[in-house]
This record gives sequence, structure tokens and C-alpha cells, in this order.
Amino acid sequence: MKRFAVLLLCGGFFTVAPQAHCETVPDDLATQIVTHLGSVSERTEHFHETRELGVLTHPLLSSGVLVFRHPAFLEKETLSPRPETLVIDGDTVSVQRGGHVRHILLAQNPALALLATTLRAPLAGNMAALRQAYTVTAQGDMGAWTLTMTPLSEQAHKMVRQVVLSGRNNAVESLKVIQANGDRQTLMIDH
Amino acid sequence: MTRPARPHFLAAALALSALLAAVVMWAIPLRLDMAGFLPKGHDDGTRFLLREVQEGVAGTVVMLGIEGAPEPELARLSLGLQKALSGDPQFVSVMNGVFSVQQTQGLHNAMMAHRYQLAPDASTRDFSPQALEQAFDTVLDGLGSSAGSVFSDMLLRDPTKAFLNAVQALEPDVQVRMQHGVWFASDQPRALLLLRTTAPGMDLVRQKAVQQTLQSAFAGLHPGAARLLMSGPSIFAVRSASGMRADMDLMALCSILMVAGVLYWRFRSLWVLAAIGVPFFLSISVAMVVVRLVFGYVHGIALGFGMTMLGVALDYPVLLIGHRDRGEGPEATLHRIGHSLRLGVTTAILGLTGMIFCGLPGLAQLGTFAAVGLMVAACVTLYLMPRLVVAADLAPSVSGPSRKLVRAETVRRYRVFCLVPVLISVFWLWQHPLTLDTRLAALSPIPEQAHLLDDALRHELGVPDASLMLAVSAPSAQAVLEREETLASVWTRLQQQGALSGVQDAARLLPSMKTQRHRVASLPSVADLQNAVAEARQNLPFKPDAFSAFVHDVASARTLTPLSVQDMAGTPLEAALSPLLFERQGQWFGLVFPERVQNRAAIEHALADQPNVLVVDMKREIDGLSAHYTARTLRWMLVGCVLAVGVLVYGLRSVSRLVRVTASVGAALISLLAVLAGLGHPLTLIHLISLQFVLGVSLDYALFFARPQLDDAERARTMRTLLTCNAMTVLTFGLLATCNTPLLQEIGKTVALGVLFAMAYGFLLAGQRPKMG
Repeated sequence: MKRFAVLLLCGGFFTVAPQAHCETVPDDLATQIVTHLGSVSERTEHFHETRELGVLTHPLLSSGVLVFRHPAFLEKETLSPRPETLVIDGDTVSVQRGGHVRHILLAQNPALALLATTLRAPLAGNMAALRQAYTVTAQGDMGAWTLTMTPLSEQAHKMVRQVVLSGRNNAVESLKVIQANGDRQTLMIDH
Repeated sequence: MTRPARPHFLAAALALSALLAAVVMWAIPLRLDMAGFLPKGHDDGTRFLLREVQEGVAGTVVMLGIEGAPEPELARLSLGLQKALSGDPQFVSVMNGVFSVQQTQGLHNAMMAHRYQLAPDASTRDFSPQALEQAFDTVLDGLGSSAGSVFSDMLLRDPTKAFLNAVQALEPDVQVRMQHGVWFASDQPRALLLLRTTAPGMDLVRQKAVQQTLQSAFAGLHPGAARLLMSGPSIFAVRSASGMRADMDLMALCSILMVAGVLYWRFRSLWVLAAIGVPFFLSISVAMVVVRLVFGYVHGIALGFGMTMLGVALDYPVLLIGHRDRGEGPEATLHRIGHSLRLGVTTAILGLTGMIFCGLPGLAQLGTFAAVGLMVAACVTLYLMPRLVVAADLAPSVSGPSRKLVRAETVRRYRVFCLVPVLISVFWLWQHPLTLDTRLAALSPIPEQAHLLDDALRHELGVPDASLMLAVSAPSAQAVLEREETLASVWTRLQQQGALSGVQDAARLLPSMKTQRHRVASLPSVADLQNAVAEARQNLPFKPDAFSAFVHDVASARTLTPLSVQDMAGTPLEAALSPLLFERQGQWFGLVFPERVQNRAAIEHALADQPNVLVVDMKREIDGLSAHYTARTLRWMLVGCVLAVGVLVYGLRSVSRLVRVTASVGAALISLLAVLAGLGHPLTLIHLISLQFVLGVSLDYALFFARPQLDDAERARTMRTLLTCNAMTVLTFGLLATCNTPLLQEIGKTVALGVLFAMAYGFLLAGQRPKMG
């Protein structure tokens, strides 16, 4: 029992992201892309992930399965090199790793909340949620698009520098996250 | 309605006595807290600790449970309550398993900086290359997690997890499960919250406001079917005080209405009511003043009980008026009943000795109040009433013999059949002997249901129930902490023996500065640490500067001043520390609460040779006190009964009357005991004093029934008047049985039933056998 509270206390280490409001002109293409993505009510995809961390001499590689169910369930199951299941469901996150399950409330951990929005909002077709956290711009066309997202708030800037999502029609091909400290995370969907 | 001849005198007496009562009520405030009602400890140490527990910071704990809905809904309510309450200045802390940033930021920063001073495990300070390599490997694993980006800074700064270790030491030993992000009871769908109030636990006005805040905050969340459960010392205090207040209002209003109703039914005259109002107001006023002078305060329960005693105290003026014939002179009535009346008052007051001398301040007040009330009512009846009654020419409207009464009296011919219920009772008592319960819980003003809920919540939230506790004293806060640290080895040994599962003390929350300095002294120099880090990461994919924040933190920890108690001001830790470590008159005290105690004797034995450690077994202490008081009550009851019998022997001067009186009283008591045994409740101190009180009242009745040489008219008057008295007593004590305060309830039930038996047996056995034919 103690473990969860401890984790939450650690979560408190990160500062709260204030409500950001969006004043950019609606980007037709971006809205169109996200709406298209949201039209798929359920998806199961295999992924390969590369994480380049500033403190490590070589990148960390992992692979697994990504499951999304409309409107708010996202499961990222890493199969190798070490099994782990991350479930974002409603307003809680649970992480199962090495036999332990941790439950964390999104409201209690802004960094995790931002991560959840980044992964889930595009798949849910939730443009409003995305625009609360990010300035969203789109390039290309529906056949081959790229969504570039920059955090709105100063707090979020301290965690994430940029997120780039690319794909075709209603399929996601890759997700790149550049952390504030320069760490890069690239998630490729296998097709 | 009968029209009195000269009502002015009566009206003036009533107005004066009512005025006196009003002044007394206005001038003497009532106490409603339970502290004034429970026993004090037998020595200074116990008394000090009892007071700390009841009135100190421990009294500010409020435990909440939310149940009666699906778990996600309960979690929503728990979060909603926390959100609504955490900004409220009435609360020091609101915990439900979720810690908000604001709540913990200051503490978080301090603990992060001082983690190497605070972490209890030495392994978190083991910076040897081997230990670091293992730690770094775990860090690498954490970085690989999907949530790794969120925690990466923390993992790299604190590879040995000293911060986690320090935080874990602070966590209360909760038996909760985490569900939907908040605390839940381990075995049922009940969300849990733990609150501390700013107001002291015994500040009833502010605590009442706290409870209203809680309830309205809960209602504001639209809980639907879900219920909010509240427990804690302050909750009990407010609940029993408001219950007591309601009881008193009920008693005051209903007793007066009932007594007035019965009297009006009997006499059909408002002037009689006015005449009886005089002894009523006078006896209440004098009793209040006497109790105030003897005890220093008047407790609400004493007044509530005093109101009930009206039913008995007013017997005397009723007997006087009821036995008067219209036109009779002032002394004529008293000449007929005066002797029995004096005897009756004496025995009734002797029936209160157990209550007066039991040693419990609350019960002693009840007894004193009642005895003074009886005495004043009797004196007014004997010395003031005759003139009032004659001046106003009051007498019962219906008097003289009636066929119904004569027929009723013929029942006495078959009084030998009284043996049947008495023998059944004796047989029942023989089969189901009464047990005596001397625990204090039996006297507690708190219903058992509420106690069970309190125990459950305390267990789950890890709030000590103070049944066994220790106090360490020293001249300074640091000295207390150091003393508690030296006891740590004792706890470990006791834990290994299985005597307890752990302890809650201040040293666990905040190590002494001495210990903190000692821990820092074991940290390596920057150069040594850098070498160790370099060696540890040799086989791992970390870059050379990956752990620079860690090295920097260790270096600055070496120069930090240790955290003192004062540094904790304004953090949640202060709220946790203050009940465990405090200063009283220049001396510092640390309280230690053992958790889940299995073997009290082993603990006491282990601490026997420890200087400056006081062990108090609160439960045994209080139960011991209670047993002591029960024994004392029994002794005084015996004295009272012997004296009452002496008074009877002296007053009756007739063996046959003595036999009739004692037989009727004995039969009433045996039947009452059998009913109590039948109900299956063990006898408590409360029942004992009630029994003695029944004894006093039954003697009173029996004496009137047993008066010699009665003509038909007088017998009818006695019958009617005693019926009136009995109705008043049964009704008022029956009313007491409907009270919220368990103590008053028990007295009410026992006395109402006993008095009913006393009337029946008194009529059948104590009265003269009617002439045959």
C-alpha cells in the first residue's frame, strides 16, 4: 500500500500545469486529421520504440502492442526487452512492471497527464484536449500528414519540447517526443 | 374547577419560587462535555496522560468513511471532499491517500534535500562501487519504462532511493487498500479519509461547526445513496453533548407536561398545579445551588435526571393534598400521614447513598441533585405547603371510597399468589445468575455501535487508540528524540517476540539531530564518491556525467544543518509530530503508541528498568477504576440499606408491618432482577444505583400502604394518591428511557419497571388484608 502513496508524493515533485487556453485559428487540416483518427473506434497495432537519453551512451530499444478503445482506454504493452503494461483508462494510469502494479491519478501527476494527452487525445479524436496542452500545426495532406505539437504552458515546456505525429489517412505511422532535456523517444507503428 | 378561597398567598409563593428558579437557571451554566463525567486517573502521571489523550492534539483527529455506493463513486466523493476541505482553515490536514502539491511541497523540498539525514535504512547511504552498481542497474531499468520519462530526473538524482525510504518512514501504518487512487477499507467498499481539525477536540462550539462543514461539503457533492460516517473524539463529544441537550429539552418539556397532566387528571384544578409548582421550583433551585457548591459545576445530565426526579419529589406534596379533606385544618392531614411521609423521605434518600458516594463525579452529581431535591420537596411539604393548601382550600375533587376501589382491594385476599411470580423469578435467577460488568465501557455515554465503527476506522487508518501508551520525558525535544531512539532496540526485540507489530513515535517521523549528524558523517567525500560512481557505471551504458546531480546532492548534504522540530512548522509533518512530541511546563514529553499489541505483560516487563519511561495501560487503568467504583458503590449501597432497615424498625415499631413492608419491597426487587437477567444484559454500576433507587421508592409506597387503622375513606385516598404518584414516576422514568444518552436510558428503563413492580407488590402485600365478608 505504501508504495502508491510514495509514488504519488514523488509525483508532487512536478509542478501543476495550469489550464491553457487556445487562441490560434483552427487549422482545418489538423482538425481534419484528428477527426479522421478519432473515427477508428478500436485499434491494435504493433510498435517499435527507440529512446535516446542524454545520460546513456546508446539508445534503449523496445517493442510491443498498442491497444486503443474509444473513448478513453489506451494500453501500451511492452513485450521486450522487459514486459511492462501501461494502461491509461479514464483518469487513472496503471503501470505493471515486474509483478507490481502502480495506480496513479492523472490529476495528481501533471507530467503523466501530459503523457496521457499526447498518446491518447489524437487517437480519441479529441482536438479540444490536444489544443489545451499544445499548439498544433499540420503539414502535408490527408494522404501523408505530419502534426507538430508544441506545449502551450511554461510548465509543460519544462517537460516536453516538441511532439511530432505523422501518418496516412486515419493511420498513425510514428510518434516522436523530444523531452525538455533533449531526450528523444520515437515510436514507430509496424505496418 | 374548584375555586380556592384565598389564592393570593399561593399565587405569591408560586411567583416567588418560579422567579428563584429562573435566576438560578440563568446564573448557573451547564456543562455538557463528557470529561466532567468520567473518572480521573489515580495518580498524576495517569491523569496527565488521560488529559493529553482526551483534550490534546489526539482529540483533533476526525476519521471519515464513505459507503453505500459503487467504489468509483465513493472515490469521486472522497476526492471531492478532499478538494472542498483542504482549503478550509478549519482543517490542519485532509488525507485520503492523495497528496496534493500544495500540501507537500515544502515538506517535499526539505525531505529531498535532507534525504540522507532522514532515511532510516543505512543501505541508502551505502555508496560503495558494488552497491552503486546495483542501484544504477535499477535506475537503467526504470528509465526503460514507458513512464520512465516522467521519473527519469528523480531516478538519476536519487539512485539509492533515500528519498523513498525517508518518505516511507513518515507514512502512517495504514491498513488500507488503494483503489481508484484513494484509500479504501481493506475488507469492504468504504472510502476512508483522515482529518485533523484546527480547533481543539473539546471545543464543542467549533467542533460542531466542523461537523456541519463536513456534512454540507458532503451534501454538496450530490452523494445520492452514499453515506458519510464520522468518528473521533470530537465527533463523540459533540454528538453526546447535542444528544444530552436534546435529552434535557425533552425531559424538561415532557416531564412537566406529563406530571402536570397526571396531576390535573387527578385533582381537576389548576390551583393544585400551582401549589405543587412551589416545591417543584424550590427543589430544583436548591438542588442546582447545592450541586454547584459541592462540585464546582452542574452537569447537564444531573439536571436532566433532576427533572425526572420530579416524578418522585412531587409525591410528597401530592400525598399531602391527596390525603386532605376539604375544610380540614393545616395540621390535621399531616397528623395522619406525617409519620409515614417522614419515614418515606428518609428511606428514599437512603436509597441514593450508592449513587452519591460511588466516587464517579457525574453519578455523584445525579445522586446529590436527587437527594437535595427530595429533601427540599419534603421540607416544603411539611412546613410550607399546609398553610398554602389550607389558605387556598385545595383537596382532591374525587375522594372517598368507591366500589371500584373496594373491588380492587378484595384482590388482596389472594395475595398468597404473589408467591408465584416471585418463585418464578427466584428460579429464573438461579438458572440465569446475573453477571456484574465492571468495565468502564458499560458506563460510556457512547453507543456500542459507534464504538465498533471507531475501532474499525482507527485500525484501518492506523490511528492509535491510546489503550496502551508510553510517555518519555526529558528536558528538551532533542533529548526526548534521542531517548526514543535508544528504545528502538527494545521495540525490535519485542517485535521479534511478537509482542507488538511496531510503534508510533516522534523519532520515527523525525530523527534526532544527533542521529542526523551521525548519518551525514558516514557520507563519502566528493572525490571518493566520484571514484565510486565511475567504477560502478563501468559495465553500464551511463555517460560520465549521468549522476552529477546525485554527486552534487550528496556533497551538499554533508554541509546541511540537521532538521529540527522547528523546521517542520507549517508542513504536514508538524501535524503528525505535535501529538507525539510536546512541551508542558518546561518539560518535553514524547508519546509512544505500540501498534497491534499481542502481549502487554512482555512490553511492561521490557520497559520496567527503563528510566523516565511511563507505561500506562489506559484500558486496564480505566476498567480498574471502574471496578474500584463499583466496589465502593456496593459498600455504600449496603450502608444505605442497613440504615433504611434501621429507620423502618425504629419507625414502624411493629413486626407484622415490618414483615409486610419488607416482603413487598423484596418481591419487587426480585422480580426486577429476574427481568434484568432475562434481558441478558450484565449488571453495571448504573443498574446497581438504579436498583437501590427503586428500593427507596418502593419503601416509600409500602410505608403508605402499610399505615395502620385506616378507615375506608382514608384507604381510598391513599390508593388514589399513590396511583397518581406511581403514574408520575413511571411516566417520567419511562421518558428517561427514550433518551439519547445511554446512561440515562438505562436508569430510566430500570427504575420505571422497578417502580411499577413496587406499586403492584406494595398494594398487594404491604396493605392490610381486608376483613372477610
